Amino acid sequence: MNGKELVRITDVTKVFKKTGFFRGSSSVLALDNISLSVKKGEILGIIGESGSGKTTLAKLILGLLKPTSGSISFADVRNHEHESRKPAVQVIFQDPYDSLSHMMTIGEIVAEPCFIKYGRSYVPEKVRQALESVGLIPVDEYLHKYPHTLSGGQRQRVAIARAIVTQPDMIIADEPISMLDCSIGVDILNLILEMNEKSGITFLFITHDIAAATYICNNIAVMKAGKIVEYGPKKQIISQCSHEYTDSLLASARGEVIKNY
Amino acid sequence: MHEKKLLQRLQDPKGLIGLLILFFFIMMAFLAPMLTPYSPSDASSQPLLVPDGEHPLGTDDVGRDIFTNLLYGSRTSLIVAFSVSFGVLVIGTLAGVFSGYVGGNPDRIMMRSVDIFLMVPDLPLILILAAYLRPSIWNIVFILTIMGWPVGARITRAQTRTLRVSGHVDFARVSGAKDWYVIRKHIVPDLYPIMITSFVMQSIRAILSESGLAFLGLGDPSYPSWGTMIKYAIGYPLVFFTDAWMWWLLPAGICITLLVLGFVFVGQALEGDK
Ligand SMILES: Nc1ncnc2c1ncn2[C@@H]1O[C@H](COP(=O)(O)OP(=O)(O)O)[C@@H](O)[C@H]1O
Ligand SMILES: [Mg+2]
Repeated sequence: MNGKELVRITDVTKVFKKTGFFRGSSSVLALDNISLSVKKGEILGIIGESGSGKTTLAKLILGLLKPTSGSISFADVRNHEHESRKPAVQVIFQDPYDSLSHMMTIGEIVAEPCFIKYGRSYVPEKVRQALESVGLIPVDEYLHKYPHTLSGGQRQRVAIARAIVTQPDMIIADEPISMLDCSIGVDILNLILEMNEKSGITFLFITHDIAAATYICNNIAVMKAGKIVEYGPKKQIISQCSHEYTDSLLASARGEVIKNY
Repeated sequence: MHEKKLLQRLQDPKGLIGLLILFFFIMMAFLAPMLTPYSPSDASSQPLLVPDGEHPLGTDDVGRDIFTNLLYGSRTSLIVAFSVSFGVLVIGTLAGVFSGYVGGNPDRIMMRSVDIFLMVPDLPLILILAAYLRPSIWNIVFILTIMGWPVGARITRAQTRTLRVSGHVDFARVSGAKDWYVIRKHIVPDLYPIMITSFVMQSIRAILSESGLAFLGLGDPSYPSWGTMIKYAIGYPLVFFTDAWMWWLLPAGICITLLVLGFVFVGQALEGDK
């Protein structure tokens, strides 16, 4: 693993086995021998239609699922005191309605990662800073609200705030804007860009929308049916794509790509 | 739907009436010794007295004060109701959460045994068991709990399974949460609404079953029960030929109906019915 890499995925395959009582067992090949590396500080886009295995890949990196075969390794990162440690990875899920517990206030939700990590001795100021930096101001107005009183865009901002509150090295954003209105989606994209530039957080940006990917990503990997069919810098993917699937994605989004790019 | 909303729901008229009825019976149970000078088994009065100042509802055929028995009867009903629903709640929730959270083979085994419990018809089994076991109130509580927990386990398990794969649980895991934290903070709080509804349902079931068993003579003789009162009243051959049924039979029936109605109202208010 060279110095620039943060995560390396080597020959990862994931098979979901379903064992039914009557229908016998069936299996789904969700990821088929995937290799990919995420470089430090970049925004890597993963594009693919629904069912192509994007979320499965994200969950494998997050450790929520175990690969059937292959390995996922993390490079050590150094903090300010030059101690090396494993990188901290956080996540923003697609559905801002299901990903925030409706039994907790916004303050509790954003504080949760700190609470899990440090126990009761976490710094409450961090929570306020996180909410401020995602634009939920004035913070006091939101701290004691419940998620069901917020709009989809505001909820997704809360989800981003709790992802950045522990200052992770990498954030996996799994289709963070696919359930939001267009204009709100652009705000969220800008927020991701800003955090990438200011705090140097590496992003894995998963989407089915090639326009959004071209707007913020440095590199793009295109997935289809559990395989990576194309990988390269954004410009290369757009201008000289070699796979017909990428071509069809581009064609369907052409109008927007030109507008945003 | 979180706790606050649940309490708000209780504030509509139905919920308030329900709570008021429950409060009335709880007071009745607690204050029974202060409200009457007699003991429920004290048979020293004249039998079959007509209501007067000393005996507000008269006496029964063996000379027990009916009003006293009515008061102490609410104790029995409430003890059975709360013990059974508490037992069902604890066992059902533990089993359901465990089964849904662990999944796999333990889940399969647990759910098959729940299915078997659910398939066995309640009432005949309760009757048989009650007839063979010693007629004690705790045996009744035991039987009703054993027959009731699978219902609780089924619903908590279903909810646990959906929660286990929800985004906020995944997020907590990614942040480093252990199973115990996830269950305590993300799963159990979400079960409060169904836990409360199941508590109410089981209470109703327990009250009706206890009175029914007592009516059939399978109750605990040392605990005065509304069901027993109805049984003796109806068993007395002349009850319908005099006015005695008005103060002997009717009040016990009204108490059972009212108490169940109280729980029904609270349950409906919690579920958001208007
Ligand atoms: N927990 C699971 N059990 C069984 N099959 C699954 C599971 N999760 C995903 N799959 C299957 O894996 C494939 C990829 O799913 P997913 O990664 O969610 O795709 P995407 O996020 O790109 O839409 C789909 O065919 C899906 O049905
Ligand atoms: Mg997905």
